[in-house]
Amino acid sequence: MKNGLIISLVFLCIAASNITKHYPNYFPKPNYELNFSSNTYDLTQLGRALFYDPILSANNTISCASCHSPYNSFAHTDHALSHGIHDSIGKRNAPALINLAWQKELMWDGAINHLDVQALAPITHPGEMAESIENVIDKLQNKKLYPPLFKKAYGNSLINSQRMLKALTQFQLTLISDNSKYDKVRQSEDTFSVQENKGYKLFLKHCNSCHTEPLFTNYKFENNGLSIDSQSMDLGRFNITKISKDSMKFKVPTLRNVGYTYPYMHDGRFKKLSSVINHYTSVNKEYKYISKELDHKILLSSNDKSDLISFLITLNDRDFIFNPQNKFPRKILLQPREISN
Amino acid sequence: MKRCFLVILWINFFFSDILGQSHIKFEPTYESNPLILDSTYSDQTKITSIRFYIGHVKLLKDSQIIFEQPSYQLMDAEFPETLTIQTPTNISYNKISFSLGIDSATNNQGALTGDLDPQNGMYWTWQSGYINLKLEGESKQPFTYHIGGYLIPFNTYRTVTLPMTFNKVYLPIDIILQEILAVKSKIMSPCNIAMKFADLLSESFFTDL
Repeated sequence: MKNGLIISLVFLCIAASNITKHYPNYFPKPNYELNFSSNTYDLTQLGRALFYDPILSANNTISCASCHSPYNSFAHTDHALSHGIHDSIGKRNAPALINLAWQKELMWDGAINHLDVQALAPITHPGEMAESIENVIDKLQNKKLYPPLFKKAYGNSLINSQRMLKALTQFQLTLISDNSKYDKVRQSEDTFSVQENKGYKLFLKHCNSCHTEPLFTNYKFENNGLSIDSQSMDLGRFNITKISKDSMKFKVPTLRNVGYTYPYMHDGRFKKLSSVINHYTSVNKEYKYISKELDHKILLSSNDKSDLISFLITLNDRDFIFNPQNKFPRKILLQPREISN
Repeated sequence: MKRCFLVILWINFFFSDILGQSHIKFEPTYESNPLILDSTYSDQTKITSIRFYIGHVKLLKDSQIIFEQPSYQLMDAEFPETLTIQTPTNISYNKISFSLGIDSATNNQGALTGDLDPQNGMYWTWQSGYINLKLEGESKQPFTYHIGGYLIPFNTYRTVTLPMTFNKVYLPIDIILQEILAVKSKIMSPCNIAMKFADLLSESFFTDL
């Protein structure tokens, strides 16, 4: 009797873990509940449509994907600073939208406390989408496409800000990147080359305390010794906490898909990974509140630097970048005749 | 004048009871009278908008909770019906406790709806968090107070407890403005001065004229 109970309990646990497993077992527990079952498929598709639809901006020209492109791990490549409506230039480099379920605070300075309310910032920012929440809801209610999509997702066609935002959250939570070479090595499906292995060891010694594996960030705010950008005078985390020790602290970004997300840093000042590494080997430690993780000097030969980069490239997740489920939803957003052309 | 106002209050109180409805009304006042928006007062001050969140309303008899309403209500002087909290009839109480603003847990809950819909204009989109109180107008120069913030050290959420005789809670805008205008005419983010303003606001509510 007792044995039977234990066996059925074990069986239940296995069944449950199969249902809820959306990420490798070496990932920590996410901060958001993940539900990608058939019940949430329509909600995900609604969120995906909203993500790619420029209807969220004042003049219907800018979508979330304008600055968060799927081909760049949902970052904005080739632009140091992301640009929005009427070609206005923002003050920060759009970060990659991956593995958001593990993030606590969003934005480079942690200004946003929940993925639901994150979208409100770019929608209402005068230099990004420059739209009011009220207008967005009004436009969605009056575009033929949306009431049926909301009905499929929520059971009735009521459109309000909460439903719009939660759909965007659902889509973004599906953006899990966990199939890089690094992941395959961790799951014994592949092996590192000699050079990658050397790079991995250097990484663990010099980088892992902030860019902590397996998510390759500790999600903390750190001052990495960058000089202040003279244009934006951006003080990062200080703007939120108004505490002087937070001056020039920015959130540690994930290094997953780092090969797809150039340029680097909050202001996109470095175009190449080699420039980033050179920054860390020559950090100016005069800054009062510089991260204690940078106390020890990082000494790397030019061979070491190549090895380190070869490891970083193993964090690229090609399957994620080319996953059709993450892309522009042609079937939903384009009229049938446009598809057939 | 004051006596007449009290008599009207009493009549109001009794009638609502007879009709089987009871409520608590939050009443912003100016120069001891109900505030009239967009009216220029003798001190050349004009209030164009006053909106605030009241939540966790509790009516107590001594220390025993008689009635509790944990939700939040957005009160807006432009829509007088929003200033009222419905309560059950035939309850007797001698104390009220309520919060001014939205607590930290609610601020972290993601997208909410109804009175807490960010569309109501009481939410900072660039830095997560509800605006607990908005007070706007002009007094020789324009003033804008958007008081909010839930993160330590700038948590502007306040709890107020008052003895309750009548079913009204007053917020004397003229007295509050006198103090705050001397310090600053614009507060629009969580900061030290917003904390002081939140203290001032929570200490300014009163229940007896």
